[in-house]
Amino acid sequence: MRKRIVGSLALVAVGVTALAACSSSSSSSSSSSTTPTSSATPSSSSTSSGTAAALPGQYGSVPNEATGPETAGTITVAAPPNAAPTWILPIVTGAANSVFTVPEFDYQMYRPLYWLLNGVEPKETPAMSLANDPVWSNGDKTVTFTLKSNYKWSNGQPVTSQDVLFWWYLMKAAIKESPANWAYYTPGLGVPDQVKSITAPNSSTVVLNLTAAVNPVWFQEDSLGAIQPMPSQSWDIDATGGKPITDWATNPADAKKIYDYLSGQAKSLSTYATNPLWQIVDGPYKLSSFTTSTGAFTMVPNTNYGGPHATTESSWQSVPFTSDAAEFNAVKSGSIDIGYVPLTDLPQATSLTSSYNEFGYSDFGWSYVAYNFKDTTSDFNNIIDKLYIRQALAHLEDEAGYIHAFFYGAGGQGFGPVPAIPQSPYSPSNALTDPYPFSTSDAATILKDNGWNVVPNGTDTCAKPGSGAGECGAGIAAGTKLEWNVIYNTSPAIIGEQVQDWASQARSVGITMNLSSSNFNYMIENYNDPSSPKTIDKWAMEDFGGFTDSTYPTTFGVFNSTGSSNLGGYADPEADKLITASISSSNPDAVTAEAEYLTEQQPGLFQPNPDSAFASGILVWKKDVSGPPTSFQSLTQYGWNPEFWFLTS
Amino acid sequence: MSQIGAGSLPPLDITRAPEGGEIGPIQSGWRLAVREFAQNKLAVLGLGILIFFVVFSFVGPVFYHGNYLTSNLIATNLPPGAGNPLGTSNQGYDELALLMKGGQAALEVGFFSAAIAITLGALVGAISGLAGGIVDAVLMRIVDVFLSIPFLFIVLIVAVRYGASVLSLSLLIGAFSWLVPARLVRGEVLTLKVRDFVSAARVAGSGQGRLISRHLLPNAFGLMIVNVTFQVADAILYIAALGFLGFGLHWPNQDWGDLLSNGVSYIQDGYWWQVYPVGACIVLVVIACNLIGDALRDSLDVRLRRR
Repeated sequence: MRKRIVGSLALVAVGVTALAACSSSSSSSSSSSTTPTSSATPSSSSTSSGTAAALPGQYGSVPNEATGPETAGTITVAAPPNAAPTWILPIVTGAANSVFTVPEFDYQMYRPLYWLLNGVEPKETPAMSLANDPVWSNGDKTVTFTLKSNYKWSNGQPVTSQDVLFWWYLMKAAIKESPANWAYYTPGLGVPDQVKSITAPNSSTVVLNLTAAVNPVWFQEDSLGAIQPMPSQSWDIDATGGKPITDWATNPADAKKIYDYLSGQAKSLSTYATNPLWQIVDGPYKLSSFTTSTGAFTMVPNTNYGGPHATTESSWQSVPFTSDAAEFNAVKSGSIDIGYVPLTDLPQATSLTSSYNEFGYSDFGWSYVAYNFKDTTSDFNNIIDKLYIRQALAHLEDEAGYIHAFFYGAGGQGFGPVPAIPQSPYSPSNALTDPYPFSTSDAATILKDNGWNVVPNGTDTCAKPGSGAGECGAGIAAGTKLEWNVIYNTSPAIIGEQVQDWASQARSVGITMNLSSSNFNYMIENYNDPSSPKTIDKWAMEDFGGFTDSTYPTTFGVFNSTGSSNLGGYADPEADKLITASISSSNPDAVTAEAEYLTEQQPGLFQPNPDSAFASGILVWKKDVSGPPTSFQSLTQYGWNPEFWFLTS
Repeated sequence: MSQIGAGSLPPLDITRAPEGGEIGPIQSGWRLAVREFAQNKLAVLGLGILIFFVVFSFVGPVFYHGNYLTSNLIATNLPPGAGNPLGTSNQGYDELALLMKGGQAALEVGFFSAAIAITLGALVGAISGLAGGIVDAVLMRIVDVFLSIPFLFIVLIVAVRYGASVLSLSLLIGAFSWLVPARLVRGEVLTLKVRDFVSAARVAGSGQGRLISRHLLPNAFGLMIVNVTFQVADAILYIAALGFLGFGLHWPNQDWGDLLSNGVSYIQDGYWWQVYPVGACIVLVVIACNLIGDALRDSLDVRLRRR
């Protein structure tokens, strides 16, 4: 599962990418022969009005790709605070894993096997994948994929199956040293633990035999999509200027030596732009400068890049800012080509429309208030395990109001683990229409119908204890109060704003929520039942942010009863069964059924997602910067495709 | 033999004012202090401002029933107008009502923490000054250690760990604010304890406790009163800083720092009513406390008092 916790801006850690999408589990596609021009870019439709077709819930619009002459230059792109890349080797460590290190920086040089984003849509862009879609056999226990012939390393050598194996054995050496050496490693799940053997029968084919049948879509998107081939003929050394070591596939000790050398080089940030190792790339760009102190960097086109790109390629420069305010000032002064408007400054965005295009879209994931099903304080565990209570709480949330008041219209509603937007092939029907719309009267009615004495602006108490119809439910004694604590993350501010409104509405039906604030790191460390059992009774609800979905949006790890990120100890046998099916059955609709059930069950309070260009805000780019609409839309999903951008003047 | 005769002295001028000022009826020290305070226009202004904010914060809500409890998402960020004299917040709360509610917290924390600080500080300072020797050394080293701890850092940690309320913040601020009063009172006690009236009390059989409670602290009372005013101002600034950093009080409680923090986020959007009024409240109350403190120092210290 490549799901990442999203909290404060500095800690947003999502990989865009990753995982492929809607292809059939057993399909195979022929090798694509993409033309290396923008004509082979991700699909997008246009309108006669000069803008790309409007997406549901979008903010602003995206103009069609300019048809005039393309001009080369250097395009400046804003980097928000704390966004400096910290790693370059395509076996990214857990500590370095962030959207600003992986998709913005690493993927520009070292492409993943599958490109799992198409504009705002969480689905694969086949032309940008290094490999053709996998072929499954042996009862979904064997997977075979072939590499495309058009992708080459910058030194002219083709990307081969040996490069995949080279990455594989070095990745295994890395996690043998420490599981934290590869950010996407989950013990016992996916690669490499579920892989019995890996072979390369020829230079373009790789075969993986698995220990058990898996869901093919999940495996392609969560496991194969995480593979980034590395140049085996250039990086197979254990010292600068050393002789090639060729037995890395059969000698783990040598694989370890090579990994240790490469990871050691990757720790030297000051040599990123000058180390010859990092100049051998298969992505569209090479690094030409890197400033260690600020994280500023410049990338120049890789002329041997075999994937689609603009006819006239430009260099691009990441310009770091120390605050959102500083970045927005740069946008207002016109000194940055591509940047963002922070959510809090959105009312000023209209003043930029003469010189900038504007577009906003929420990313694929979910924000939520986690419930602690193990908190025994004042019988909270017995209260929150009642579905009617969770339904009443959902009725107290005004998602449309939050988007209007706190996001200034730049956000999308989310009623479950699969948000209403962006739409996904796996969206269940109840992901699109709020199953528990905002209504304080409905919430009060639910409570009254279940034996509670509702005291508006007071504190409700259980009047009818018992497990029968119209009674409070098992474990709730007469006089039990609806009162508990809610801890929220202070950054970004919209978290506190939403929680405060929710508590305010709850108060109107007699539910007392005692609010307190904390910070992301403290919350994840301490308000987390699996990893912090000592503090189980210290929190009833918490809002630290949320999670990003991979294109295959299973909640394995979060809402299955043994999940390592199941913060509040949610345990439901039916949910366990559905979640397990999502990763191990061959049913392509399994994850949809999982999402539908969880949306109905409300294991947490699902919240709207704000627009997320550069982590928070809407995207703006100068009118003389153009490209396919999807290349700009994807920035809202943490997808950087500067190879498609060009200047019109 | 020379003779000093009356004729060599200057004639007595009974119309001339005596040196050192007019001699009037003998008045008590407190009455003199009050007279001195009342003659200080800035002090009166400060007192007026403080009284205004006390009335505004605690009596205002009795007559003005603005909404600060139930958010109203269709009335967010409204400018001042009918129904909302100072506009609305980003939650749709009435800004004037928020100012009143925030003022309650600021003043409660300010006065309560100042009371804690001065009580603790006076006790430690008096014991330290009177006992001297090893007791004095130990207590003053404790003061030194506490002074070296970054106060705001500790408050932030405690606020995150245990949550923030008027009581907890008052206790916390008070627990770190007694250090300066302790040093001041100790210094005062060092000068007082060698005075004749203290020696007389000792000879009369007064114990250490009685000396402190009946003779030393009452004579250091002026200094303590002055310090209280500064402690109040400091505490209001502390809670404002905590609120500004997002670790102050939580809904349904409000504090001015939190309001200011929210407002600053939107200052460039033109929502001035979320920034300037609350900023003015903080500045005015702190200035008022400082003006009162300065005037009290002038009026309670006989060396500074005008005749």
